[in-house]
Amino acid sequence: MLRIEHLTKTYGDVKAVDDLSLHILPGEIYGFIGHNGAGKTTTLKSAVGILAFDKGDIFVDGLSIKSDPLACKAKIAYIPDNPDLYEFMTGIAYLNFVADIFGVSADDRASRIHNYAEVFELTSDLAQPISAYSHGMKQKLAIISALIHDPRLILMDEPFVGLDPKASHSLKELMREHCSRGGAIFFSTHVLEVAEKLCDKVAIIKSGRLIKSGTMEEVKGDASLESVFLELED
Amino acid sequence: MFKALLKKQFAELNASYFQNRKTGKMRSRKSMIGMIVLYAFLFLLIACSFFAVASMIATALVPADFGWLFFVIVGVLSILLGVFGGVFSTYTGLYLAKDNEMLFAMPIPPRKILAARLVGVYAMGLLYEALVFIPSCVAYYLAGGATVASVITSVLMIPILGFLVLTLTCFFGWLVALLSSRLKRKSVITVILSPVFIGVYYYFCLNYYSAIQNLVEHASEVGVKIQSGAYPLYLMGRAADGHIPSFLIFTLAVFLLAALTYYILSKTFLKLATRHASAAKAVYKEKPVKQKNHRSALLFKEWKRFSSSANYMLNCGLGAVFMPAAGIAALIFRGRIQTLLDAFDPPHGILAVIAAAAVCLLSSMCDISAPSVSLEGRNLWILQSMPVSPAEVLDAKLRLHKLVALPPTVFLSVALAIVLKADFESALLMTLFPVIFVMFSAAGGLAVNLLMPNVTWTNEIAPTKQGASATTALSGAWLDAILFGVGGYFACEVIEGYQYLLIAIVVFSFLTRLIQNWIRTKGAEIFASL
Repeated sequence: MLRIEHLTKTYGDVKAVDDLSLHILPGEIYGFIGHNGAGKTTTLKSAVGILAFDKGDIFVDGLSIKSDPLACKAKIAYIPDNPDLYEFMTGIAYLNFVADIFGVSADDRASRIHNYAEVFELTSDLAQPISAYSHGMKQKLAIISALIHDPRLILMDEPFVGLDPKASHSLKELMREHCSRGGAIFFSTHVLEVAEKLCDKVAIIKSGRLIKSGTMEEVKGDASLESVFLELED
Repeated sequence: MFKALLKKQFAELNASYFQNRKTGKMRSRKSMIGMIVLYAFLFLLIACSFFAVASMIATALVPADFGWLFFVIVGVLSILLGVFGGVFSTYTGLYLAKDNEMLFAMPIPPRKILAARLVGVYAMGLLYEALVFIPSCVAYYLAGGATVASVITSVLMIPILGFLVLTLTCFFGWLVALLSSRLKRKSVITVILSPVFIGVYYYFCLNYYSAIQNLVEHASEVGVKIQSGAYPLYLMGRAADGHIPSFLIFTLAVFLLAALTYYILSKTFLKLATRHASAAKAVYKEKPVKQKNHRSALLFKEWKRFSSSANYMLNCGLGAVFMPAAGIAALIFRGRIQTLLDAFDPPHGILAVIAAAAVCLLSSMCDISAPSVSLEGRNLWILQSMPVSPAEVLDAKLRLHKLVALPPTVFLSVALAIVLKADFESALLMTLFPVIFVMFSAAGGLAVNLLMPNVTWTNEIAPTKQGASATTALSGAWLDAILFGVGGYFACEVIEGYQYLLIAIVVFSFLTRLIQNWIRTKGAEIFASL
C-alpha cells in the first residue's frame, strides 16, 4: 500500500531523513515513533506529497508520489499534527468542500458525515464556524474530513493529541475497522502504550535514520515498547 | 520587556517586506533597493497630488492672513486619511493578532502588549497623515506663510497630529471590537460597517474638492463659524500657524486625549481580546447538498475566504464598490461632464483612451489575487495534500479576482461610453481594454505573490495591507494604468484613439498570456514547494 524507498530529505546541511525505507501492507496499522525532530513529520509530509524530497521514492498502491502525485493523493487521507483548518468556514461547509474536491457523491457524503459526526459527537456543532471550535473539536473535524472519501491509506501525525478519551477510543476502533476492510494506516505517536496495543508493526526513527522496524513482537520481544524505545534512543 | 515586544512587532513588519519567509533569509540587496524605490515613488506620487491641492488652497488663504484656516483644512484632511487608513487594521492588529493569547500567557502586563501594538498603529497613522500634512506645509511655506514660529510648530504638528489620529483610530477600533465581541458571526461586522465606512470615504472623495473650493471662496464667514462652533479646530489651525499659546494648549489636549484613550483601552484590552461571543449557537440540520466539481469547490473556498474578511475586502476589493458608484455618478452627471468636455474640446479619439485609463485605475483597486497565496497561511497543507493540481488552485484565485472585478469594470466602461457618446467601435474597445487589464492585473498580482509569499503571518493585515506583494501589485497596476493613459495622450497625436486601444489590447493580452503561462508552470511549482 505504501512503499517508502531510500527516502532522503535535507534542510540546508541537516539530514532530516536519511535513506529511510519502509513497506506498509494493506490491512496494517503501522506506528512510527521517535523523539522530537527525529524526522517523523518530514517522512509523513513527504509521503503525502506536501514536501519534496532529495533522494528515493514513495509509492502509494504502486504509484509514485513524485511522478503521479494527484492519483496518489486521491487514495490518501492526511491528518497533520496541528489541525489548522479553514476558520472562515463552518464545520459542515468544510466537510462538503473536502467531499467536493475528492468527488464524493451527495448520498455517500451525507451518510458518512452523519455516521462519523455521531461517532465523534460533533453533529450539533457542524453549523458552527470552525473559528469557534476548540482544539479537540478541530481535531475531530480533521479526522472526519480525512475519512469522508473512504481513503485506502491514512497518514496521521499525532492523531490522539487533543482528543477526549471517548473520541480516542472511537478513533482506535475506526482505525482497526478501516484496516480490516483492506485499508492501511501509518501514524506517528509519542504515546507508546497506544502504539503497543494498536499497531501491527512499528518503526523507530532516530536522527532521520530508521533504527528498528518490524512486527510489534519482532521489535519489542518480551519487553515493553517503552523500554525498547528508550534503550534504542540511548 | 517593552523593548522586546517592540522588537518583535517591528521584526514582523520588517520580515513581511524584506525577508524570504521560506528560507528565513533577507531578500537580495537588488530586490530590497527595488522595493524601497517603488515605495518612495508611490509616496512621492501621493504627496505630489496632495501638494497640488494644498498649493491651490494656500495661494488663496495664506496671503489673506488665513493661514490658520489653511491648517484647519489640511489638518482635517490628513486626520481623515490617517484614520481611514488605520481603523480596520487597528481592530485586527490590536484584538485579532494570532499571538495575543501566547503573549497573554506570558508574565507581561497586557497594557505593555497593548502599548507595543499601539506603536505600530501610531506609525501607520503617522505615515498616512504625513502624506498629506508634509506637502501641505511645503505649500504653506511657498505661499509666504513661513516664519520661525510657524515652521517650528507646523513641523512639530506632524507627530502631534499622529497622536490625534491614533486616538480616533483606537476609538473606532475599540468600538468595532466591542461590537464584534457581542456578535457570534464576525461577518456581521463586515456587512454593517464596511459599506458605512466605504460610503463615508466615497462621499468624502466625491465632495472634498468642491467643499474645499467652497471653503476658500467663503473664507471669512467659514473662519468665524469655526472660531465660534468648532474651537478645537481653530486651535489646531492656530497652533500649526505659529501661535505658541494655541500650540501648547492643543498639544496638551492631544496628549491628554491619547493618555485617556490608552487608559481606557488598557482597562478593556484583555477582556475584549479574549472574549468569545455568547450569541445563540447555530443549529445544524441535515439537508441534501449538491455535489460540486472541484473547480467550483475551489472557487467557493476562495469566495468564502474573501467575503469573510473585512480586511481582505476593504484592502483588496474596494474598486468593486467604487466602479459601480463612479458609473452611476457619471450617468447622473453626464450633462455636466459633456459641458466640461465641450469646453476643453479634446482631440478626437483621446477620450476613449482616457476613459479606459480611468477605469483601469479604479479596477486596480481590486487586487484580490495579490495576497491570495499568502492568505493560505497555516492552511496551506489542506490544498497541498488534496488531489488538485497547484495550477487549478491558482486558477481559482484568478477566477475569483475576475468574478469580483470584471462586472463593475464592464459596467463603468459601458457607462462612460454612454456618457461620452462613443461610437460602437470605440465603445467596444474602451470596454475590452479594461477587461484585458483586469485579467492582466489579476495574473500580475498572483505572480507577484508567488514570488513574494508570506505564509507565516500572525496578523491578516500583513499580507492584505502591509505585505510587499499587495503593495507591489497595487502600485504596479496603478503605474501601468497611468502609463497607458499618458502614452495614449501622446500617441493620439499620430494615431487614432481606437488604433491605440487596439495596440494596447494586443500588447496586454500577450503579456497576460505570458504571465498566466508562468503561473501554470513555474508558479505552480513555487506553490507546491511553499
